[in-house]
Amino acid sequence: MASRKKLTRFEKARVIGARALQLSMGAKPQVEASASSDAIDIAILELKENKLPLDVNRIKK
Amino acid sequence: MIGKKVMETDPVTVAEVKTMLDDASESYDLTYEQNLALDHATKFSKIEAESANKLVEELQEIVKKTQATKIADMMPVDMADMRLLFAKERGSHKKEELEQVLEIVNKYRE
Amino acid sequence: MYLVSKIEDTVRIPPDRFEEPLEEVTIELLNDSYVGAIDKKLGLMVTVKEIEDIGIGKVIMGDGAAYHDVTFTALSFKPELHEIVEGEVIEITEFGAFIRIGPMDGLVHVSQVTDDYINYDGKRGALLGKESKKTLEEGDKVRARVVALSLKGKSSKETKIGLTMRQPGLGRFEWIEEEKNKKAKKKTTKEGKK
Repeated sequence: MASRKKLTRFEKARVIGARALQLSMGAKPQVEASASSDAIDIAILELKENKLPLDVNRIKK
Repeated sequence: MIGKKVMETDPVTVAEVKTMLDDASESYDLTYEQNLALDHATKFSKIEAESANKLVEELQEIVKKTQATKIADMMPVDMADMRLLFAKERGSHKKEELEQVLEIVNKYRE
Repeated sequence: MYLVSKIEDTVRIPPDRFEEPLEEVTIELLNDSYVGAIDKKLGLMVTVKEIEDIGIGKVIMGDGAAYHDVTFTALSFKPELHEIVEGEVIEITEFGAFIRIGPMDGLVHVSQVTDDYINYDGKRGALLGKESKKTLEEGDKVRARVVALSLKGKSSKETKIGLTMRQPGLGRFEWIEEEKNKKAKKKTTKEGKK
């Protein structure tokens, strides 16, 4: 599940954005987060701990 | 429109519908229409789903699957019933064929 | 008659349901969106039977939900023109009888019940044949043929199925039985005369 590839900064932004949206829509966080942190903080934490349940699908050109 | 693409459709007998809805009713509450269908299927299925399945399979050697399914639903008792079922169907069926169908149906009658 | 179809579709799983088993959620979501819907090709959707194949979820721009390509089988009820159906009388009105032929109802107009002249008995809620003394009441089981079909509209309430029982071999189960007995008797008396 966790993304093992090294992400570019663009991919990071996209992934954190998508994950934060999911969290705000009711998805359960994969990390322990304090009550004060917002969706984006949790998404960033998930990425840091390599627990993001999202993967980047790079389309080869 | 349901779904993006319908890949295949297959007729099923009322008896099988009954088993399907019976199973479904165990895992969740049926809707109004599903209850109507289950009620109707319970009242009008004449044989068990398993034998209905076998009957359709056996009939398919003589008639089309849609017709075979309809026959398994109706369980015609005589030639008059048979002719009723085939009255509006395209393609003529010989008398011998219909008698053969009737013979097979009789094997499965409960 | 009933049909089982294999259908390809995309299903949207909202983020708050990620924790639940995927297949169960998919079946529930498909049932929610399709049961009761009417399709030109498939008729009235009755239930989703099973999920045959479900792809990996995709996240698209602007939505946090996961989109899965899914192949499933579903049960639907499609009345066919000229089809023979069996059902139960659920309501009698002065213009005819409503017959439940599955998840939908059909109407046999008074003029299509028998060859006889028909009277409506409002007190009993029955249709009476003048000459033949045939009666048709709520709860009677009948065999009929579909003669008119309109599958327009979105729900089963808007569909109209016209039925007839004015053909040999059709009508209330008891009438059909009677007719057959009569014929059988005629045959035996004829043979007896010879």
